[in-house]
Amino acid sequence: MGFFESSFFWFIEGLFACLAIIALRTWTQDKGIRMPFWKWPVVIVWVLFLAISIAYIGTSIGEGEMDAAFFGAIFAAVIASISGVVVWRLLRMR
Amino acid sequence: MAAAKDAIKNRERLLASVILVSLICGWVAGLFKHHSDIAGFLKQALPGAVRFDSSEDNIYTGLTHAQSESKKAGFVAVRSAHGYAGPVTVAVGLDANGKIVNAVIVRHTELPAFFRRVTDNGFPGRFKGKDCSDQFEIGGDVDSVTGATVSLAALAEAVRVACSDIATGRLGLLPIVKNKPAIQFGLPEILLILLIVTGFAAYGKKLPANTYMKWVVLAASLVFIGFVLKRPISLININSLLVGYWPRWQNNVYWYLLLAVLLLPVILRGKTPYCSNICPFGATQEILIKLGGSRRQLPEKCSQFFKVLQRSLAWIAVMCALVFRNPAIITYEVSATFFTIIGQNWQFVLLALVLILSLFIARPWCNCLCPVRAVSDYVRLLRRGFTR
Amino acid sequence: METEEDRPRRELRVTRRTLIKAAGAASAVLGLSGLGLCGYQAGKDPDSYTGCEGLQGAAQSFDRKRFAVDEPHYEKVGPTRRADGRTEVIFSRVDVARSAAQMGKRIEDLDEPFRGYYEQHPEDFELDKQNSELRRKVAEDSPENRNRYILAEAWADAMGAVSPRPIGNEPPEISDFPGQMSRSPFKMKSPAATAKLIKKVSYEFGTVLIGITKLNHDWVYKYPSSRRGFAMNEPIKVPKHWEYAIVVGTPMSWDPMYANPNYGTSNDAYSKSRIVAFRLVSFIKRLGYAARPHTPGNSYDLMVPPIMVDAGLGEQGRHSIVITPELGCNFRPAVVTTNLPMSTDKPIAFGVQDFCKNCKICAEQCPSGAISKADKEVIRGYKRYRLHSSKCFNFWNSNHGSTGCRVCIAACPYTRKSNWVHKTALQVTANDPTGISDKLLAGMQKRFYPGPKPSDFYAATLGGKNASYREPPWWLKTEDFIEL
Repeated sequence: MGFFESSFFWFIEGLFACLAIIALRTWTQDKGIRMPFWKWPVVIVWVLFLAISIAYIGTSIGEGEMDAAFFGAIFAAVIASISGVVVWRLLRMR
Repeated sequence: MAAAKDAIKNRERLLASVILVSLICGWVAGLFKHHSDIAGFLKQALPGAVRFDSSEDNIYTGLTHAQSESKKAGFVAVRSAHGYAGPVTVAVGLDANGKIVNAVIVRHTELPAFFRRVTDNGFPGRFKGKDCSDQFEIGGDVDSVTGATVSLAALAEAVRVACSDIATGRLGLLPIVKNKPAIQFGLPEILLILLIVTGFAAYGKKLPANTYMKWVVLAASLVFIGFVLKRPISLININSLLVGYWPRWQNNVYWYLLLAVLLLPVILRGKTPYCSNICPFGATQEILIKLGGSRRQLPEKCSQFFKVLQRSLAWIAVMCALVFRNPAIITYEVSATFFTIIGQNWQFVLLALVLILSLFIARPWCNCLCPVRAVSDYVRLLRRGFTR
Repeated sequence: METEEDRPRRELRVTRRTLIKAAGAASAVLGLSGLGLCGYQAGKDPDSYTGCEGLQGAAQSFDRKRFAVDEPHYEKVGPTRRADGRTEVIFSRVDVARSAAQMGKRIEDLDEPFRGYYEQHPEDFELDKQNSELRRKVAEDSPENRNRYILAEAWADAMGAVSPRPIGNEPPEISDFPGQMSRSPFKMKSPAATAKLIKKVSYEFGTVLIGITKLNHDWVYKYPSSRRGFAMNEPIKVPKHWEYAIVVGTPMSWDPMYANPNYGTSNDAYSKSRIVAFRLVSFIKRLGYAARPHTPGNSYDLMVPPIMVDAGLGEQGRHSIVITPELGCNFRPAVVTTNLPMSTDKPIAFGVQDFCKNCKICAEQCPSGAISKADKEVIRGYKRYRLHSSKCFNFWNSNHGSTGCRVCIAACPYTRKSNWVHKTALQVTANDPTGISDKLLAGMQKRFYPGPKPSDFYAATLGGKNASYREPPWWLKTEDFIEL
């Protein structure tokens, strides 16, 4: 079992996630962005989409399915950009 | 002031004329392109024959021996039908009982990525063993192929014509009645006319009602012309027109309507509602810039550069189509890739780039690369140059 | 001093602090008990059985109970007919056509039952006759093309090198029973316990999936495909002791399997499944009951796919192969028929019928066109997709490498390795009742996991490019190891 499938890896991922959420909170406060409760799931869903896309590209390369990795990257880039812009505009909403 | 205006007008006239002359030269050069020998295809279509007798109606009689008293192995007819980008030509071999021995593609100019769908599905080999009296109806006695319906329909039509010509001309059978109506006019055509009419109505003054109508038409066109029919205007259509591949209007009302809404208004009035109000890929970009919330245009320098690039590329593509008599020889449009999810890898990269840029810049494809826009610009230039 | 304004604020602060404390305490409890469960799992983990990880039955992980149905998916329409093992099994009839081609015989010159079969299927006669000619053309390919498969062929042969002794030619009433090591059958405590025991020992014998069903006599050949104690031209009378059917089996090695039709081999899984079945037969006979193996390479007296469906291992797909949730169609089964009383498994329905109706990837990838793109037809009284075995077998003689093709197995979207991407996709199709995901996932398969042109699979001398569905694994690339 390699490091990236070990429980320790997921523990560290959890730490990183906590740090990222704390940093996001501080950053929005500095920017003067109000963060009512509904904005949190929106951001988290978007980040999860990005995370799954990156994992998918990795898995496809690992499987040797280069076409899947390529198309996964193209589709994910377009969807993530478009939804990213929408999420960003939602964040800045009062 | 008047003199300066005249100078500009003269320069435009010169440019328009030079392009026109170059296009005519290209068209004439294309006349000398001769097609490859068909003898090899005849042999493939009817492997049992050693020798072929030709006749005026372009039906070849296959003979089993080199001597004159040899038996007839069957007949081969070479026929074509109009596909998406010009004619699809097939050689069809029939035995004496009217069964298809083999069908081979002699030439075609369809987009490779789309035509691969047809050949990957085993066509035209799958016509083997069919009877010359069959209907060759896609979705009926011929399995359909998703994503390449037009190409396959052309192939099946060419095979049908070849079969029916041999059947009536050589086998002494009665002409086969096709169940299809004489003029193909159905829901797609009606919807297209509706879109065109409302698109025209919304074109012109910037009234609130017009803006509202424009959005309705754009959304409808995105769904209908884009995702359902997957047939927006492409440079290939215009090239087909220039090269002289004019399909039968009875089966292609949709095709002619779409081209008419692009070209006629430009010729008559110098502008067209197609690009701004109807084009489904334009609609995609409009929606994306709305999502992005930006009103940015390209900087002047940049837009100058891209105008030149856009028009040069379009000119090269048209010239090559004329010289090589192949409307789809150079294609770089990404709208088909967007609506069908079929294309070369670089087209996907370009498409992704265009879609992402559309969030921040108004209509990057239309303003920077779209060859259809370049064509309509050129028609406008011609019109300005030669009207007072 | 407290003012009126301060009070609510302090109350708010207190509730928040309490909340945080409570959450902290709860997570501590949850976290600690989680560690306990984690430790329990670590102790039980099949991966801790070093060297025998695969014998713990952990690969049969799909929750079949949730997808169990009372009726199998094939529909019985009208009168049924048992298959004729002499003519309807391609391997039984093909040699007759081959020798007919050599001697210039026509259909009417053949003996029964072949004459009758080919009169009904003249197209099959033409196709079956071509096989020697196709083989000859493949052999004409350049040495460079032929030599590329030296390692693949050596590997295939090695995988088939070990095989149990065939069961001989005694009638089943003798050969299926314990014989001299016999004692009267032990009385088993309960059918449920027996089934549990048989499943566990089968995993230990090396099976990856197992299912148990009552044997439906419609699946037994009307006439045998090989002797095994039967007279070739007398109908098989299904013995009374063929009461239950146990289906076991193993997958082929994944990387060579994806590199079909030329680098893979059926031998590896055939051999393993055969050994499992013979071990199981020995085990059951020692308990005093009758048992008979029907295994790849040692012939069968029955059709296996519908028995797999009955035993709840999977659903039969468009390519006629049974699709299992765990391995897709990368599964080579063997059957043991027995009279040992066991509780049986139920068939399952996890969305394959709807998926296959739309997907058609196997039919599009099949080099021979043997897999139908049409809807299901009524065959021998049951509704299923037609498979044109003569076309299929012609391709077996049109390529290099080890015998066979297996491209449909590799191309099937269900035949995917077990990672989160494909496991998720499986769960989505299995649980989505709308059918939208079927279309979406099949579309994504075609776009994201394309294969070569079907005609490229042929040998170069037959107009192909010696293509394989995926690149071969490094250890089968002959050119990297042998001076040519």
